[in-house]
Amino acid sequence: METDVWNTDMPAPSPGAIDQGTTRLAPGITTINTRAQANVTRVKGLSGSVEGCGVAVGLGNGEIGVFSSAGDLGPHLKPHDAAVTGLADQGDTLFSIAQDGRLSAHDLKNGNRNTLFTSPGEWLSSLVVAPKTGMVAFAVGKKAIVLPTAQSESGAQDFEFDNHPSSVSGLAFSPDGKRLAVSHYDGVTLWSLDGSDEGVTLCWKGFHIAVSWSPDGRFVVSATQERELHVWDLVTDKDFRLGGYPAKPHMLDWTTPETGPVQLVCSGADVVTAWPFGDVGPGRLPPVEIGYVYTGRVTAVAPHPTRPLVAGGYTTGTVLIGGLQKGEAAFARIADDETISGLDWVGASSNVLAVGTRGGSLDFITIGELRLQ
Amino acid sequence: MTEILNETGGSACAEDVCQDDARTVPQMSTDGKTPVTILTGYLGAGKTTLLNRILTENHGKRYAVVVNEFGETGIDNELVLDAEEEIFEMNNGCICCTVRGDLIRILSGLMDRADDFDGILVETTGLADPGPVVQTFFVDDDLRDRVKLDTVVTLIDAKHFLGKVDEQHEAEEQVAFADVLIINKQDLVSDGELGTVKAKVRQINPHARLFTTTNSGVDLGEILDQGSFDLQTLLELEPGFLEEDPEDHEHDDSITSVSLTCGEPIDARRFSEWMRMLIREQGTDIFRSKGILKINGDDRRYVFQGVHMVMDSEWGVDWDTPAPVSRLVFIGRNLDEEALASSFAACAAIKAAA
Repeated sequence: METDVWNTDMPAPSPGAIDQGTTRLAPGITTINTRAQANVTRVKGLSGSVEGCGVAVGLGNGEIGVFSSAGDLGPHLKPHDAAVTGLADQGDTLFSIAQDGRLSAHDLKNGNRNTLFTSPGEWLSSLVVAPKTGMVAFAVGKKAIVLPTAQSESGAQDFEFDNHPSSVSGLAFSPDGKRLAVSHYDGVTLWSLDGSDEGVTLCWKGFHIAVSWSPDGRFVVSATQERELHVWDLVTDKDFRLGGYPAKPHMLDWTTPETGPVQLVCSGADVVTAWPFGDVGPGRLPPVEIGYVYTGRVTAVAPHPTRPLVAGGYTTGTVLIGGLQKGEAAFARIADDETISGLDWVGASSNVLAVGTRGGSLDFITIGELRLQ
Repeated sequence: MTEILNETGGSACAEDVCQDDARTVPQMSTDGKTPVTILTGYLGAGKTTLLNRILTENHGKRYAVVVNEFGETGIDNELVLDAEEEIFEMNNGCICCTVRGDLIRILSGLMDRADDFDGILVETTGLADPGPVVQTFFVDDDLRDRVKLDTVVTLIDAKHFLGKVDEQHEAEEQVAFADVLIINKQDLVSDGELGTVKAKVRQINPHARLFTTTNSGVDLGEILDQGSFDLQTLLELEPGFLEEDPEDHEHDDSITSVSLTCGEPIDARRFSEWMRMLIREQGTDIFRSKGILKINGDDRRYVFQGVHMVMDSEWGVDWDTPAPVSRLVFIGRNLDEEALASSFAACAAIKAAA
């Protein structure tokens, strides 16, 4: 495999340099502020059809609140005894994992709950649901476990992959749901879910801390402790690095093809970075940088599902919404020193952004006719 | 990767006898970051006894504990977590940038339930090199945001230390890294033997606070929430923090401490270049370094500390003495005191200008 390095030159954020007194919310922004019982660990917009179930919010005390896009509390779930570490949904089913070793499935339509997996005393992490096949995967120690759900075809088997050199740090399904990417020390291993191979390891010496698979299935991207992204092109068998981050870029997400050529969006810098992938990868193009310097460091990102917009949350509590083509941005939340721990788009037209913080704030921000500058 | 003299601070890649019945309540810090105490020492030195005391004594604080040998504590506590030591050497191949990936994962996870505890204790295995554990707190952004390394506590088995220290580097290095040294099981040795152990320990690390105990019976208020890695704490301890080293240095490959002073203001650029070169060439052998400097042309105290090649630095309050004296201390292997003294002296502004 060949390696290339492309660096963008991003200055390190300088906390305190922003003048909070002169920062103004973008016109048209309205916000509903609420407080959660504990620190917010996860925010997941829901795609199901159950009325009043727009977003699920996981907390440090193991509780999960389901809210409407207007910020009204719907089902209040208490499936876990310790911090929620992952939320995912499929249809009207919400899946959750936590530091109590449990994977739960909640039917939001009828309120039923099933425990799909339990391993007391162990932490579960990296929850993902496979598109199409309805399989669910999570990590526990050095193992990645894949289980069928009610949505999977009957007879679908479960898998336990444990041949990894370190604890599993991230998981991603391929877009067809037939393969699982597992990140760990010194690379990413791709497992086929038909049991047809022994796993293929994409090697790159480094401490890989997250992994994501591009929507077209061509690229596997990992984030590393060394503050870079590592990209493997499965078509050409080449790999390359995207660097220049002042901190670990561990939140990775992709824009949807409906909003234009696909971009890889990630955290870690003082701006949201959106790398142009399109069909062939970024080549030597720099990323679009969304936001302003000196607002802190980006800790959470959420591409809009239907418009060419991305939301970025910061260590300072700032939330920006920006355009994916030119990087123009507007303030949707003003800094208050509460690090943003999760954000996601909510509602039928996705015009509400749900934002959670480590301090326990939970805001519902309606963007209205957003004008970016 | 080293920035010695940056304006904003930040990191870069560069005899007391304790009374068993004395108990004070540790005071927790107020800057919002959770303090982390590291417990090192050989198997049998008394780490588990000390851990159990911290977990069961009524001091009103809750601790999460990361252990390597699960079950050994015998305590049923959901905040006792098992870490399988996962050492990671960073991509540049520099041994000094080796970190503990398992700690990053577990401590980041613990911070998702930060309301549940007031502090974190990390127990290392008896054979562990404390370097990667300590460095992890300097180099990881997420941990730097949310937790702060408080103190390295090293337990020493009075009976077996002298037999181990010459054979196994780890025993010596655990002493070198310590902020607090506890010579435990003093009841099992004679006064003469205890004196020899103390002298050996002091030769390696003359600056750590030293306690001699039976049954790990140190006052918890002396080891928890000490702010040993807090640069402002270092400033408060000045000027007494660097007492003169013992004179009887052995000239072999054992670990020693070197203290340096300079009464002339220091040239910032010269000092920065010298430190960069020093930690590049000898960082592997330098376990801890600390210093408070009078920089030429600046009224503020400049304070730094490092572990191997990683460093933290910041500016403190103004000097309030008419003739400020800059002080440095290094603890390491193969340190050439004369060479270090002359190269530090060459950093004086008056020499730089000449």
